[in-house]
Order: sequence, then C-alpha cells, then structure tokens
Amino acid sequence: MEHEAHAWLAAIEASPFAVLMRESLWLYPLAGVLHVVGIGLLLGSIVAFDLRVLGAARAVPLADAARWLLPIARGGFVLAALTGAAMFSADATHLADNPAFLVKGALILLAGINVLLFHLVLWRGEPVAGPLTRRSALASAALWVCVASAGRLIAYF
Amino acid sequence: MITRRFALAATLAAAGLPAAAHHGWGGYDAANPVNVTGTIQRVSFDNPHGTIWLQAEGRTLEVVLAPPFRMLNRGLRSEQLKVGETVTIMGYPRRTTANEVRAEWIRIGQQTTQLR
Repeated sequence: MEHEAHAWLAAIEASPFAVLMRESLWLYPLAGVLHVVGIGLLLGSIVAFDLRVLGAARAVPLADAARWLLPIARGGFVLAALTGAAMFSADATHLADNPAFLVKGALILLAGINVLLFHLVLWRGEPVAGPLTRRSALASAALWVCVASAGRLIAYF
Repeated sequence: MITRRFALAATLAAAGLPAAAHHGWGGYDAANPVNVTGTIQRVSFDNPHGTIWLQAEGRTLEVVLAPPFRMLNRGLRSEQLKVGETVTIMGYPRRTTANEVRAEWIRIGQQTTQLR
C-alpha cells in the first residue's frame, strides 16, 4: 500500500511536466507567486462572505454578497489548486513526507466537506436560518485560514 | 545504515532523475553545523532546490542548496558546479536522515555564496 503510493508519487515526479517544473528557471517561482495570488483571492473573499453570513455588514444583501464574493473565491481556489498541483508534481515524494503538507491536505478535505454541506444543505438562495449555518460559516473562515497557514509551514519542516 | 529516504534518493539517482529535497530549515539540526570539503559527483540545478552529491570522507553526502534563481542572483552559476570539482560547504545535518545536509554556504575556489 505504502509502496504503491510511493510508486505513484515517483511516477508523478518523473512525468515530463514535473521535469519541466524542475528544470525551468522561472516556472516554479511563477507558480509560487500565482499560488499566493490565488490564496489571497480565496481567503479574502471567503472570509468576507462568511462574516456576512455571521451577521456583519447587514446593509449588503446576502444574495448580492454571494453573487460577488463566491465567484472570486472559486477563481482563487482554482488558481491555487492548479499552481499547487504544478509545484507538487516537481517534488511529490518529498512533499508526501512533509507533516505540514499532510495537515494541509486534511484541512482542505474538511473545508471541502464544509463547502458541500453549506451549498447542498444550508443554502436556498439565502442561508437557512439556524445555528448549523453559523457554525458552517465560522468553520469555513477558520478552516481556510488554517489551510493557508499550514501551507506556509510546509517550508519549515 | 540505509534509510528509506536515502534508498529512494539512491533509486532516483540510479534512474538518472533529480531528487531535490523539499525540506524547510526546521528539519535540519542547526545546533550541529558541519564543514565538509569534497568532490562533486552529481549536480542538479533544479527547482525547488539545487542539490549536489559530494564524495567526502568515504561516503556520499546529499547537499541541498538554494533555489536556482537565488543562486544565480548571488552569482553562483550552474557551470561552476562541475562534476569532479572540489568544494567546501557549511551546513546542517538532516534530523531524520543520515547523509543529507542543508548548506548555509558553499565555497568554490575563492568564491563563497550564501544560500539561505
């Protein structure tokens, strides 16, 4: 099982794209820069939306907040995910051993489950009133902040 | 003793693949710096970190350098890291793996390049 996972990671690392990521002087740093831009867009917009759900800035209708902020969050996530995958490919076997990276992966999974819970169960054009909705918004803000923090800590382990 | 990570590095080395480590400074033991002079066996001037394999004191030491962009900005070109060249590094041993060091600086001839 573990052997299989390592074979997989080694295969990713040996792929032509991963070789390009390593051998290009500027591709890896560029991915790193765009990764931060994606995180900034995701975190800024999702925390603003979560605060609105939690009751801040009531002057802004919730539907408007959702229409403006959620596409920015999605775009930021896609940018961060693509550039993150690119950087991961360059160094897959080592990253899979990095505790901060593993914690980050688990947190992204939890944040994703929370996104599904919110949009499939707690959102009907506007949030369903109740403590679960507020907890989901709070969890969203906390989880994405922790995802970004764990990501930064990869460089320290 | 050959650890799992070293075995993997050796496997990748045998396959002719670069195995640039992505470990932060925290994984290295700064309380026990080492100075090593050795002969370069193999070079990878790759992202996210360059690596040289140094033949020194009867063993092969994997020496993690800096990102290529940083080394170039500080005047260390890939052509200077030649197989067979004798270089001196100061660095810190990896806590969990034998024979891996993260270099604080590297000296080639008269030129010392800070890598952190």
